Amino acid sequence: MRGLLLLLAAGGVPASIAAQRPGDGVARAVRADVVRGHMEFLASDALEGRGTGTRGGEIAAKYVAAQFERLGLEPAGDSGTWFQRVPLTGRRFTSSLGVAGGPALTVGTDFVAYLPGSADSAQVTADVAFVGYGIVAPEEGWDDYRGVDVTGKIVLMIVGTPGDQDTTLFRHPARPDYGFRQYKVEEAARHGAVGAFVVYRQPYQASWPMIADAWLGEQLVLGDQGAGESATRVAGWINEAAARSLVTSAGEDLDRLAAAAARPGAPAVPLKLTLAAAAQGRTRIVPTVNVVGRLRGRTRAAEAVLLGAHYDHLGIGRAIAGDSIYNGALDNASGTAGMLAIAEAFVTAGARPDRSVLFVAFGAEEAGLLGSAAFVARPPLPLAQLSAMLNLDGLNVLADTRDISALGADLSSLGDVFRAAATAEGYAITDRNGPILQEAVQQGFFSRSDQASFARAGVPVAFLFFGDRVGTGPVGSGKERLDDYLEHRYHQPNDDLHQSLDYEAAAHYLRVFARTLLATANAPQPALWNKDSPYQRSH
Amino acid sequence: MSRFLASLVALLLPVGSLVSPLPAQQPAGTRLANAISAGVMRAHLTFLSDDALEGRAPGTRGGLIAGKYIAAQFERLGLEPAGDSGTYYHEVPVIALTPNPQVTIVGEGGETPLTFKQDYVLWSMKDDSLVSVASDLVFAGYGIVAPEYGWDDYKGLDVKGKVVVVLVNTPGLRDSTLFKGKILTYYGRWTYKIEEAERQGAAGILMVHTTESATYGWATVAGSWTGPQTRVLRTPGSLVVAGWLTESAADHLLQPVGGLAHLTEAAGRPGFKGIPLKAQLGATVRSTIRRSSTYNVIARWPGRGPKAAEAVIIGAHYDHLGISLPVKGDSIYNGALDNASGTAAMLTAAEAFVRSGIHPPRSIVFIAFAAEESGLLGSTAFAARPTIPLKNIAGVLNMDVMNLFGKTRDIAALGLEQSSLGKVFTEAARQEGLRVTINQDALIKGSFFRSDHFPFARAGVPAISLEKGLDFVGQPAGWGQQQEDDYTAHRYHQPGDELLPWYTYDGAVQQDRVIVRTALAVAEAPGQPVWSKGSEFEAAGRDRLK
Repeated sequence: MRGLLLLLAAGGVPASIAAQRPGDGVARAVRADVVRGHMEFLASDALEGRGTGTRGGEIAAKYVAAQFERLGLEPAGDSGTWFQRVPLTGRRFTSSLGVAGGPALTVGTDFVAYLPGSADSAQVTADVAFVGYGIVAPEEGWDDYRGVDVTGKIVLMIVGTPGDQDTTLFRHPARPDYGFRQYKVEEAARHGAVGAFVVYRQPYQASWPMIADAWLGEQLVLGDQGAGESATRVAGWINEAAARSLVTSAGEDLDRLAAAAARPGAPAVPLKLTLAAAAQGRTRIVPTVNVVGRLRGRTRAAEAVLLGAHYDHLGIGRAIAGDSIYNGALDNASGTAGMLAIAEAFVTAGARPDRSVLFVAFGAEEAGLLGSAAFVARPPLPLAQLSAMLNLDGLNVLADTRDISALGADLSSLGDVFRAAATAEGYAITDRNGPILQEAVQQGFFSRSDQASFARAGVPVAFLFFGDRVGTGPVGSGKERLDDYLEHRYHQPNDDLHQSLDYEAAAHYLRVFARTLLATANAPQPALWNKDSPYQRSH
Repeated sequence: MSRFLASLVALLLPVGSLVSPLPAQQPAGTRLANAISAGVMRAHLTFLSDDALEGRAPGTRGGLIAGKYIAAQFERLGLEPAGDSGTYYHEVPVIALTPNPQVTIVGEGGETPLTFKQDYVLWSMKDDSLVSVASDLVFAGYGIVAPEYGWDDYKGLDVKGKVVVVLVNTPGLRDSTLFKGKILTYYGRWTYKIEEAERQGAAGILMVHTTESATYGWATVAGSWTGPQTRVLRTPGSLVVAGWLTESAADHLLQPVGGLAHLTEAAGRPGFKGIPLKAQLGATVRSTIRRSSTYNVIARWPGRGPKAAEAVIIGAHYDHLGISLPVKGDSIYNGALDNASGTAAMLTAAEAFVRSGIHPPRSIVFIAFAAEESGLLGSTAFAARPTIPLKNIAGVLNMDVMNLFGKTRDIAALGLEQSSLGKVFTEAARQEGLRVTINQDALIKGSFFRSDHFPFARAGVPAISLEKGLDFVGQPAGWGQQQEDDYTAHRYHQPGDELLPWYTYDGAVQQDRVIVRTALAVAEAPGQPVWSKGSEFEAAGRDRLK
């Protein structure tokens, strides 16, 4: 039939038919007003910020299920329903910290602390070692724990990576999460430290009040049983000023220690300082779900490609300018609406790819990618059958760009598929050394959304991201637009429907992912990690 | 398109569509009806009747979320906003007054104080917290002006600034040759009595309650008119107060002129003349007032051509009773049948127009009505302040409580006899293989006056309201009525009106197919539907087109 079509094309068939390529149908069926309709519902004040375990979150999940059902998808959650249970435990901590026998620091202002393990309380008094960035990265030849035994000690380390001070370092690290607290505390536990505190300082993407607010509130962890065991019994954050005076009291200088920490081979520094740290936790079960719908594949229905987007946001919180509803319009009503718009496009275009397509709205992303972690821990199909995971988080509803990117796609065969899809939609591919992708590396965006759970579990991923050039603007105008959002609206009550939103731009972006999704679902082979990727399938 | 090219297009189409003849070859009505999807209806109904929607009461979170859900669906479908100033929302300003009245009758024999709830109920017709009247009382028979029956109870009677005492129902109740006999015309409804008294310039109205004429007992009156009286905010007319008198209080008041039994008989004879009573009403009503707004949600599927400004309305109310008294530990009044089902069917009809891509000459306007349960407030507000001129509304098809009991061989609707919409509906039903059943009981009870199509009828727009058939496929005779009675007795307006596991969508799909066929036929017809000769809405229908 392809030969016949070519023949006909030469004979003057209307361009609309001659130009028909795989993917054109679903791409055309992606409509801006579908994105808008869903987004206006999900981001309205009536949804109360879609907090995990709240009524607004529950309604958002039920809304997604209603849309899946309306579209004629098959329920692919627990026991024939649309919903996959995400078992969450909520914990609230009270804590204390200070020099042993000395004055106590002020919780919230100077520090926040928690229990990394599942114990209800812990109390440690131990000597302190400064371990630089607290990173062990063999591929960078980096080991902040070299030559020091921190067993039974409290470690102190600074947030971020050496790349924050020396841009030649950690440019393409194997693990994108080296800069974050969670990794650092886990590394400290591997080295037997009984306490682990991360010193907050700039540059970091969250402000101290955001961190303090988050840790003074409820922490959600996956699993009915809580966090599991950890050698590190108390962990937390210390604000820079408080850390400085602690280090000074030990006869050292924080700035000098921090500067030294970015030098390759800098040794850990034992401090003449003994800290007493204690924390108690209160625990409750928090109900939430992922919503899972399946478009059954034509020839390889047991295999699947997944398109995901988290539907949760921060709920109702501290009021800013009289507004306490954290609507999360961009983050991530937009991605959820986009996922539904692509599902609708597949259905209305009558697309039935070879593999099944799983459409998933993840819960509890904001609490630490917990919905996606629960999904990969108990997947509705074996992960070996899951060819790829495409994620939408913070869909570009701001302004269309001339180029487009997908984080993580270059680590696998998805890179080629994505590039072909982008080209078909008239997009250039964003320069990986350009401003927006450099920012993505600096801010660790790849590890900050649900694709990270899948990559770690060995499934090739792509996370649709921004471009460098807005409209006819110069390179850098894309970063400017994103920075404006990150600085003024991200995780604030004004990430709502009052900001300027461009649904046509969103639809254009989504068409690239609709094509990527279709091509991946129809590809003869499942997506494959590149040989040099830090992630590989675990068979 | 050449045959060659057509076969090429066929090759490019998904495999599934080759099984049946190409959709474009089928008549539009069939394509439209085939686009009604049970899955779509189930999805909307499941969401709207979920406990998370908290019973969708006006002014509550659940009601707000239901409205937003409907707007999101309209927008997703690509329908045009047809509410206020370019949005999907049409404001329904509501006022609720809780009355605390005091009433004295001053007659030739002195003052007779009456006891609230025991002898009478009375509420303010003004939006003020304190109103009073001291006016002469006039007995005005049934309070009816019906030119088509040659009937005028106000003929030669000056009631301006006075308080009228009227009977409810019509003379047909006692004499089957008058009006429509036992079949309740609008002239018999208490709402009509109030509207007519206001047209006559009266300052007050007292309606005489008997269980026979009202079709409900005094307990219902005392229960319904003593709490908050919720109504659409309106431009006030001449009426200051309105209320009901018990049969015995009325009889006492009417003794000097012959008593209630005698006057009821007299009022039922053609040519009856009203009688001034030698008594005055002294009444004061203090009210606590609460003002609020709720919203109709409205969208338009545009017609093609010169008649696109005209429209056929497919409507359903989306509100229900919210959270209220618990029954067996359940306090959420989900209103799955009443009327998440009608709302779901309306949205499914909208989706069918979009999916089939059929644009008839007249537009189709979809309205989710607010606050029906509080007294048809959403539809009343729309008829009072329409976003489409009433003369451009060809007809209204209302859906209130769908058939989730199963497939039927028949179908029904209220108002079929009132206008030529009845014929169109009957033909649409025939095309779906369904015969039309007339529900005599509904005619006697006046069900036509109790759902959202009615404010349109009163304003002269031909309107019908869908009902279910009772002849169920695979069920013994009488099964349908039994289900209906069971619903009315055990689930209607109770927390048990939930989505039950045994409900099916076959019957509702049949109904929705007939509705979209009817809408399409009205939207395609050369002229608008007309009222039947002798309908009590014929005159309003003429006025509407002026």
